[in-house]
Amino acid sequence: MKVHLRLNGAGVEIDARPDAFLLEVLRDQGLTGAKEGCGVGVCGACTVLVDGAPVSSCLLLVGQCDGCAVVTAEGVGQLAPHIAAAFSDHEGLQCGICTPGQVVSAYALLRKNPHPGDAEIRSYMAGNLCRCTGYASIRRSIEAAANG
Amino acid sequence: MVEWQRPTKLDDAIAALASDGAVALGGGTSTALLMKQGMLSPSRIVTLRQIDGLRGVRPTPDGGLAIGAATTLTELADAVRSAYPALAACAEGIGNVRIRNVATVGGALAHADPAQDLPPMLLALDARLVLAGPAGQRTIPLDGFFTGYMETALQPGELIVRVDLPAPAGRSTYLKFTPRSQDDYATVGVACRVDGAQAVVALAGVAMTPIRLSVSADPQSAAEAAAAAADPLDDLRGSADYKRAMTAVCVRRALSGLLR
Repeated sequence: MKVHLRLNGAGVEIDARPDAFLLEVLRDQGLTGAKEGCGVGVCGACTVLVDGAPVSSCLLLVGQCDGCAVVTAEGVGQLAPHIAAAFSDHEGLQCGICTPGQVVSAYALLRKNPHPGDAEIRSYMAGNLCRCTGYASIRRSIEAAANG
Repeated sequence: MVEWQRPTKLDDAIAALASDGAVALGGGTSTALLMKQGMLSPSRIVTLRQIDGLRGVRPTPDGGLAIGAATTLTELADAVRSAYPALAACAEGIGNVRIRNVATVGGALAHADPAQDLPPMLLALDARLVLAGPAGQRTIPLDGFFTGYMETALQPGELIVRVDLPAPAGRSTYLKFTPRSQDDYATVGVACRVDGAQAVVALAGVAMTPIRLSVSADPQSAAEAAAAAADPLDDLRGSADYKRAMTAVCVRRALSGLLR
């Protein structure tokens, strides 16, 4: 089936299987920032924005996205490079598997509230799992991105 | 191969759903999981989010709310924060922000997983459902909608149009007991609404369907009634005995908190 997306700002027409999930379609486009971690919407490694809202691309059928604006970690890297830089500066990552999803969620949070408090960071980011950092450095990275 | 239909009119959606193997799709978070597990192979997917009038929350003349079935959990929480704060808190405790941005109110009810949070909360608030199908439109109480494990009173080709809530009455809360991890489904979920000496208690996770009870607002007697009504299964979230015991504990805590 033909699906039209506004993908990181550019209009594209993609020929996709009608039962394909957005995640695999994005990765087939070479956008490999989003990863399949759990595959069931829990871990957050596949987070992308659809019409501005963070979603699990592993659980979204591509047919649901026809006509939508999709922004991936690669797009956030272009729109807000200071967020990934803050993660790097404040050691908000170790192995890096979860990082694209963390950065996309952080971008969505900072668009919703440019100066979130600790409680809002914790609750908004609760769905992005990280098995390395213990989360404190991720929160520091987001605070730094908000202040920088 | 699955065929997609994106009707913009309710009547067109009902016509599209008349075909064998057709599935109505709200946000798809539950449907996608069932498809991934090989438990559901729809021949046709009928998306509902673009249908006129199925999204959004609006006040009703009697002081209540009409919640469109294709309203997302994020939209629901934002819309009910002042008038139904317990419902907003319940919705914001479901899954994570990505799920709440996609999952819909109608989808959560039609999925009818007894471990979900929204059904007992809406039962405690005395919600009614407006359904539409080939035979026309009907309104039924949410109590009675859940007929078995992931089974509902929806007839073939029928879908949920909206959830009607009466004007807020009394004080409400939702207590989600998740001993394994915070983002887990509830081991026991308890919705309570206290109005004077009477209370409504509704339970998740402790039977094949959500359970709704009208009880006295006394926490101890309500806890005993709820534990007696619970009929849990042994599973990875605990033994039946444990869940029944925790049902009493959670009901007592939830009601005591409301009465404090």
